[in-house]
Amino acid sequence: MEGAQEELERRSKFLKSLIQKKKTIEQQEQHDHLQHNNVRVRACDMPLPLQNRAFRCARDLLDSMPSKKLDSKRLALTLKKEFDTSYGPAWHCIVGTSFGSYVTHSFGGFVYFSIDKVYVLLFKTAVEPLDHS
Amino acid sequence: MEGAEEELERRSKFLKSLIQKKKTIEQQEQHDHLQHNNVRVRACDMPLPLQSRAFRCARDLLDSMPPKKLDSKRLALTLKKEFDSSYGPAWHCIVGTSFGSYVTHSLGGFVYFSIDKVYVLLFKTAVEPLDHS
Repeated sequence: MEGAQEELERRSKFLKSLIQKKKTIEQQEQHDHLQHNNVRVRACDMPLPLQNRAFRCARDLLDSMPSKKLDSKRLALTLKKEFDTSYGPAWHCIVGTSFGSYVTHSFGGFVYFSIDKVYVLLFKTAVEPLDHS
Repeated sequence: MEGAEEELERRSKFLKSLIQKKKTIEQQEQHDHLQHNNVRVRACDMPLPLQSRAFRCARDLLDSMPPKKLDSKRLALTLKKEFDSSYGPAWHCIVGTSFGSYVTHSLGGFVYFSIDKVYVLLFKTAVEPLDHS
């Protein structure tokens, strides 16, 4: 039994190190990705795939706009529509260079990031039931 | 019966003019109030008392801040807390000098106004049920 105990401990350590390595790799990949797209996460409560979706969407749209001409409303609308469509309503998006905010969001539905010199707040809330009393 | 019909029509016109006068007076009072507080409503779907509450709250807080020193986050927090407490959750508030937005709001729970040189977006949404699945 002593040998079995040692073997279990060894396997447990191996698995832990494997998980840690995977985590480190994922974090590094995310960091590289953000760096490449000039994105910096300021605050977040959102699964990684959704974050990446937001960054890519914002990056693509900003790249398609004339430089030095930020269309905040268009970016806000695009992000909101994409997330409403892909992850269910209701998402809200604020885009700008100078604002403060206080909001209540659904679990796992909040990200506040900067991309280039613009700040983006994207968050989710519940929606009113259709039968509005 | 002809006389009765004429009388009904006369009364109906009188009531309509009374309603119109009241409406005009209310609009004038609101306009005077806004002018006095340097408030301009940009977009709105909100009962008048709630609007006035938001303007007064914003006015009072801005007046209590040092001039030339806007604390967007504090104003956003104050408005959100006041409305969450008084009219039920969940309210969201964005304050700033440069932002665009796209949101989905509850019926009667949306106002976008400027006060001095700052813009305020205040809106309501449903909240997640407490039993979060």
